[in-house]
Amino acid sequence: MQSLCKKIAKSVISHTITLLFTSIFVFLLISYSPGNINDAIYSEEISSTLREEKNGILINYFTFLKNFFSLSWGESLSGGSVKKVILSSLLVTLLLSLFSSTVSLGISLSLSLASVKKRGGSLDRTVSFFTYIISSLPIFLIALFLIFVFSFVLHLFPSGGYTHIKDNFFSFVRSLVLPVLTLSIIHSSTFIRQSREVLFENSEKEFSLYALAKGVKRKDLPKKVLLKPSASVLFSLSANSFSSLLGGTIVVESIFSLPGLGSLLYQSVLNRDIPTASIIVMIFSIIVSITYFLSDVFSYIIDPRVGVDE
Amino acid sequence: MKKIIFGVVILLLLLSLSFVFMDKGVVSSSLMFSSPSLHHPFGFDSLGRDLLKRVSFGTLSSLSVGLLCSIFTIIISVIFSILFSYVRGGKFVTKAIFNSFRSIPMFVLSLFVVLLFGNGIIRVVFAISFSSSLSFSKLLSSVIEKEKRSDENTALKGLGLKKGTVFFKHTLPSLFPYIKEQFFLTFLHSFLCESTLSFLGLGLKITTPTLGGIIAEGKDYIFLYPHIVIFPLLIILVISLSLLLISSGLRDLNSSFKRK
Repeated sequence: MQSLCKKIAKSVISHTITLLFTSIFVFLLISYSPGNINDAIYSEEISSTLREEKNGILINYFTFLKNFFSLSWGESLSGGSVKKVILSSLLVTLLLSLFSSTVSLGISLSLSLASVKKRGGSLDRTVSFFTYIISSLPIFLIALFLIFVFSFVLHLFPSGGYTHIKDNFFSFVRSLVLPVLTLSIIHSSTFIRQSREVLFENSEKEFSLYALAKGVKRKDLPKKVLLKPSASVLFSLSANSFSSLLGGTIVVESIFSLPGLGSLLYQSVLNRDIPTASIIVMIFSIIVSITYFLSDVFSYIIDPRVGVDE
Repeated sequence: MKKIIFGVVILLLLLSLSFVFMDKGVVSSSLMFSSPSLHHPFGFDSLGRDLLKRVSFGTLSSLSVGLLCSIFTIIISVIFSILFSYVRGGKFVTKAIFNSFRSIPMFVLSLFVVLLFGNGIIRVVFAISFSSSLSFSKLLSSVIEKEKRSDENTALKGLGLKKGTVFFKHTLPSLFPYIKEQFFLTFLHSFLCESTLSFLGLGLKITTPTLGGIIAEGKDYIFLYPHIVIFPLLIILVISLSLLLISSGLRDLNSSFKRK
């Protein structure tokens, strides 16, 4: 038990260091990029005096950190408080990514477990064929295809827009179906391939041969024998793909016009609104670090061998 | 081997066809939204430009961006991985930097870089190759670490070879199969990333037709005139599938080579 706590503490420390590095990176990019906003807004005189007013780089960095953590994010270029906009859109993105990651994890785990049962069988071949093709498609192609089928031909779901959950629960669900479907198709196509590989690798190891010799049926092998030893790898893989899913939310949110963090980032890139964009990037990295941390903790609990030798 | 040849043939065919038809197209209001015909097999777009010519131009520009990105990615990641595994104290810094980059989704990072440095071909190439080189350099540095600890390496050093010769004659060549395999995969990913960026209007300059840009222009008329979107989408599909074929063929070659 003590070793578990020790591992968790280690993981917390390493993720904090990671976040610090990310913040340094973001800060350096903002302060040394050619596209300084002051040059764009003010005249040359004012912007040059503003540049001279700069303190040392360390002090600037600490004020950046302090402002970030005290949630005093200032006002955006288009007016209005950044904090309000970001916090309201954070909820949409979190809901979207959580729904789609659960859907895609469910699909991909069940499909890969089923296809491991018989390697080279018909199910295995169709699954690998489709994941192969889908994973080489850009995400907007799938979104456009789904819009075409489900909202233009079948008139089942709206092609865009978002209703708040308090206003109307039914239309809230309806507005999220297509985005969730798009994200989970893309997400599961890569995840199935990775998890299939992991499961196959474990099915060729000695312990599964031993289990077969002891009388476990071949069709029960994936669920009974293979799942637990592969779990720790699967957790880290799923955290990995969660981060790419978050990247995909930008495209999906701007296609389906959902008011989430991704479309906010897109808008602020279009408006060259660097303060808002940098805060959004920091928030994205915090979310991803939290998922990595959770996957670490789960794999420590399931498999005590993980993270020992480091 | 069959897969590689098939993919290469398709890619070369597409390239030569697009060289033949490549043109930015002329605006003409009388031909707006004309459907495909025998003389103009792809039809016309929302401004009355011949879509075949524009799509060929877009194919060339998207492919060249992908190619440039993959070359830069390989160069950057080889340099990174060497720096990290041969500079003293690099390991701790590497780990922290890699983790911090891992925590920013790749697409978010490239959007952020585009925001800070603006769009245009060089900046987009920089953004994409910078954000995609990180995961690859992690792989490469782990390969280098493995090579450093291998018996062959210690034996060579024991024989009295200098560190530099061991590195250039043994460690560096051992990276080539990985680089070859990853080259086409990065090509594919940067091609997709570029077309997504152009689709959002953040890729190349809007005057240069790209596949993603043409789709973005035709997106508003997708229900009325689907041919504007369908043809560039099909081209994207063909290109990415042939790149995927090549990379998987190379991987099969590598794994059969390792088994021997």
